[in-house]
Amino acid sequence: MSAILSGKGIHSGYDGVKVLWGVDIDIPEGKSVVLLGPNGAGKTTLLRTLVGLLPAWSGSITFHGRDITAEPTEKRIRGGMAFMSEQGVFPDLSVLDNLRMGGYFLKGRDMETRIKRMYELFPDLLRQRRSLAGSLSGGQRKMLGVAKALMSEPSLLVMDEPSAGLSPKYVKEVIEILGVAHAEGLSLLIAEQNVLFLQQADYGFVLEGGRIVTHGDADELGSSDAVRRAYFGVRDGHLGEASA
Amino acid sequence: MSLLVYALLAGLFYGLYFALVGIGLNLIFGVMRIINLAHGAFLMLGAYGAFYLYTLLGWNPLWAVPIELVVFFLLALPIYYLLVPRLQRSDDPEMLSFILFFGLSQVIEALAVFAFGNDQHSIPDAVFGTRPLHLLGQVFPLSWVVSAGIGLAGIVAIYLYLYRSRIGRATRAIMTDRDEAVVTGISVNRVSVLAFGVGIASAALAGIFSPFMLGAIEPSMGLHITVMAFVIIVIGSLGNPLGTVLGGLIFGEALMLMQTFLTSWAQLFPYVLLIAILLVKPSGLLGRKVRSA
Repeated sequence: MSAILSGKGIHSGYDGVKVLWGVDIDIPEGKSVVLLGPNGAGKTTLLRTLVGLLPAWSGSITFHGRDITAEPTEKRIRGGMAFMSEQGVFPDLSVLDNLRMGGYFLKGRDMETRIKRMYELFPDLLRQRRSLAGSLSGGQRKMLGVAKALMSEPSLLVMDEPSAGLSPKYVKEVIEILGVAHAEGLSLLIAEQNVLFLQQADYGFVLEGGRIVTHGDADELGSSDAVRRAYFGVRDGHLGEASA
Repeated sequence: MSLLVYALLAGLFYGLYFALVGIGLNLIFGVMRIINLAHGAFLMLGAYGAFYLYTLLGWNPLWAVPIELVVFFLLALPIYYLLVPRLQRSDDPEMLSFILFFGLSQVIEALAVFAFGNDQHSIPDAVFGTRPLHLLGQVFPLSWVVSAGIGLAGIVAIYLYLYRSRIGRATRAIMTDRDEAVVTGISVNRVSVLAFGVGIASAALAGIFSPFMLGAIEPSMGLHITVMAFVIIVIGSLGNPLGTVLGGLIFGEALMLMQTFLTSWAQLFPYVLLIAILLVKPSGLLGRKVRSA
């Protein structure tokens, strides 16, 4: 099975503070991968490094088999990667303008076709197309975030904590939306704290203290020790354990 | 009563012009988070451009409009590429831009003294015709009406650019959230350089009409005008270019009311207004969230 995105030995961080200590991660083509880990494990740092918002201090990143370690974000996005941040949308722009931004580099006609397609997938967005994204409910905002990311017809969608700030009811909705995205044939990499996301995933990685502590098939991972420790075990001291 | 009508109408003319004075500063701040303290210096250069076209070639200042828009847009490009990408790689672009663009304004001012001398200059009001405008029983110089008209045209043009064009939408997207724009695949650099060019060109455009609205021109006029532009955009709200229109109108009305009824206090007024706004509603009248800086 070939990897669509792969990171080898990634070290990275902010302002001289190292957060990632040699992370290896592979996203198999067409699969949905969830990156689990507690707050502060370095999930966001890893995603930001993979999309190029942060430079990798060392290590390499390949996308579709091409080395993109030194490529700027814009080029990675045009190459078929889509990133949905925690915020995911431009709150001051209308729903329609958000979709237009998502397909920024599409030609006029392709853009219209793509917007129509998004309205088919997410009829709520058609009804709300003139509303400001900031006025949508939490769940609808995530829906718009996904639709905006799908506008560019990416081959890989990278998402940072789609469940952040959502009530359990909306979390279910988001998982359904991801099912829609996955059914469109794209690969997914989702950073999450919420283990519910293992349900829709094929494969999972667990990040702790800036290192991958375990990985495996999603159904097996749910019952693994590392996941239990990270989510149900002692919070204090587990970083020490992980780096030992 | 007629004095009040006069002050209100004059405030409207001045307000539209003031909106033009401030809008470029706010556009550049909104997109790049850069405080262009050289804004007034570019306005001063625009004023000298119009002055020399008039005195040397006898051209009406209206001819300076298309010429300066093009010249200053092109002038802005190398300045952008020299300064802005470097600034944005720094940890605190806002603070550094303060220092850097203050330096730039001093360089421009020194070169202007060198090139134009320290004398004050003006362009006679009569270039737009000698017949004043009669409105509601009041009389206004035609130069005010022309300046206000150009101000309005400039605002409409910037509105169309921001709200009716593809690149303008991307410009607003960057204003909302720069990182989000980057990960959306928007060419942030290309959009920014356009906004920078438009911002500088709008300063020069306001400069063409400054001899009629702001008094005699001289190389050192820039800093005072930058402060004024700053007050205007803070009133409307930083980072919201159309808030500048509200800021300009309030500033124009308030200034004219002060000059009409409390003349000796008018000089102090912009600064008092700035402090008052910062104390009462630091996000500006149209601002939604208080900025963290």
